[in-house]
Amino acid sequence: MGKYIVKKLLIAVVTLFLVILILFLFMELMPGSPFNDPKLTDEQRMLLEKSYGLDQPVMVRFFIYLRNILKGDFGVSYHLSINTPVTVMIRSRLPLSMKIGFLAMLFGSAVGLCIGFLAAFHRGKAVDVISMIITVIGISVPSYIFAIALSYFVGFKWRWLPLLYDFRLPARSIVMPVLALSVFVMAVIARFTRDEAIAVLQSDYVLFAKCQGTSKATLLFRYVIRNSLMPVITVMALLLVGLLTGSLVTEQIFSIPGIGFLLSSAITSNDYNVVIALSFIYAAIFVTVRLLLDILYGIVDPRVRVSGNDPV
Amino acid sequence: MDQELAVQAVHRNPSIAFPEDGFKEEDFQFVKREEGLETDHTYSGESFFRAAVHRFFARKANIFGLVLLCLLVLMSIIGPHISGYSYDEQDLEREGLAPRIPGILSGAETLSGTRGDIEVNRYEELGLDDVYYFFGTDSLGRDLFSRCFQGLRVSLLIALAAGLIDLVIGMNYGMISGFFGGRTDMLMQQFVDVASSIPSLVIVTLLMLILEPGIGAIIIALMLTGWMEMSIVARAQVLKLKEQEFVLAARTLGAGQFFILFREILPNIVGTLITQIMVTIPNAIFLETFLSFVGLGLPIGSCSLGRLISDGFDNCLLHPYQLVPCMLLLILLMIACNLIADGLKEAFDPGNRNAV
Repeated sequence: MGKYIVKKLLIAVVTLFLVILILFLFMELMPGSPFNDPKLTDEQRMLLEKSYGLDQPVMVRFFIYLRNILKGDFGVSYHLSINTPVTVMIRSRLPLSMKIGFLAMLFGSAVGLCIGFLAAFHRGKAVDVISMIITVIGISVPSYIFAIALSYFVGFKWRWLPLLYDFRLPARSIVMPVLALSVFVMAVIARFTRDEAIAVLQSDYVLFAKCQGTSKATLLFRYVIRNSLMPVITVMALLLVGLLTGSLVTEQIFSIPGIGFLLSSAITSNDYNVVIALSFIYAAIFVTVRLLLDILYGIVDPRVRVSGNDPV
Repeated sequence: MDQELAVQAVHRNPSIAFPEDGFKEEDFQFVKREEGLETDHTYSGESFFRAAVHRFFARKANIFGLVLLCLLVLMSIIGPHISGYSYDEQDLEREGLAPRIPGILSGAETLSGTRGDIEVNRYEELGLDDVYYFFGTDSLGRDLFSRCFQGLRVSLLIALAAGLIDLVIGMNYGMISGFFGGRTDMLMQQFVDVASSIPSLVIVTLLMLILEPGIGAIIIALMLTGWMEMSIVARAQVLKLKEQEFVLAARTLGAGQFFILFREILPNIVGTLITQIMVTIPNAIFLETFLSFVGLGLPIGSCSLGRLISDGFDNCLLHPYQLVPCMLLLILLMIACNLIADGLKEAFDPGNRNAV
């Protein structure tokens, strides 16, 4: 077990290092500079670059950068809010994005589990067909389309909730983004739960429990639901990616001051440090969740840690 | 009983059953029995593919998805030519016209403002009596009907590219890694392990910044990130098959490594690979619309579903009709692809409990 965890940890560290390297190289290759105002003279531009340390050789800058990242320093913003440390900008925005993502995950999983179990218990009946249609739509339709539809009808036509993020009404403002993001989570979880529950319901041990005369409630809660829940954890990594991409567009649609909106505005204004820092944070979240999942799986399923393969 | 005796006699003296001068035609007699003469449907020797096709067409949802996809492909070919307006022809006089279809939609639209709603028909204001824009026009007076189907064409092109990338890179990478095993496999898998840990969103975002925005950039982004899932699927399949007897037989007969891999194993895993392609395609289509929406995809002048949705979103509070058709097309395309993918998964792998 120890060897397995060390191996996975090592892979995670190597991955993060590579991410930093790739991010840095990408930024080197990027066209334009943060100081491409045509009114600047060459001397002024050189002075600016010197003051930000941009005149050093690439390798030197990379190692300085790496050292700073390890200290939690991502440099300062060049453009969006000049000379504010990126860490400060992110720290003020990250909690909101995390909150929305977490709530979307929670709400989507809860609804998805209910739909999935309902469909599995009424397999082939109307409930199953309806849930199937809901999941196909939920998986097919991108979350930002739900976001647009919600903002048009609920926010604009009926005026039930604020159309854009409102600092005075933070709780009401995040209802629509959470709903829009949770649809995909719900659909994927519902589908997975249904398949797993059907497989469990058809298994021999459930038949045996039935033959023993186990009451229906015990059967459902102790056998079916408990055993079908474990594999659902695997999909969480997939869903996290969906939430990361989804947050970018959803935050743009609802003007939410979170990291997704910050990233898209940093991209359009060539604010290197912000883009690198946010990409790193996205990657770090992703890698951490994968690591946790791998370790969790190693604990739950001994076959995984023996063979060292990823759970499929 | 006498049949058993005859068998024993043959065993003792094979020359009874196998005359030395061989069988002649008159040795045999055609037994024609009308009763009981029927095709055995229960145990008919159906080939794997035929069985898969049967299973696929046995479900209405799959047929619906297939028909929908065919219709969309057809419309992407002829759609831009139906209305008679080209997709990029601008006419600033005719900007913001609502949809008008003979006998169905009059071209009137309701504009919502802070002081209530007003109904306008810009066709009548402009004196355009015999002019029909089926989906209306956008803010530059371009025909949305042609634009939507032109955009659909771009999305399908990206879908095609994604499928090819899956086949060329993902399939070969996974198959070679799985088949040769050992150190090759370990190195190739470590690479995929690390590469797939980097969120593709990050790679794609940065790539779009470096490259000139356009279809080419999106396809390069797909080349970097889109094939990994396919390679994992292909590797798992090869690992499952390479220890089987038919591979051993081929090897005993002296078949080369690549012959075994591509002529013996590949035909047996083609079903799973096709399914995986259909899983990749909606992701690729989504990627384009997503990138265009964030402003990283196709440049503003061009025309794709993502671009149209992004443009339509800018005007959606005033003219929601500019957003509806392109969004519907995207939804229909995604639903069709997902339905087909689910159907294929079930058809090629009926025992798989994760199939729907």
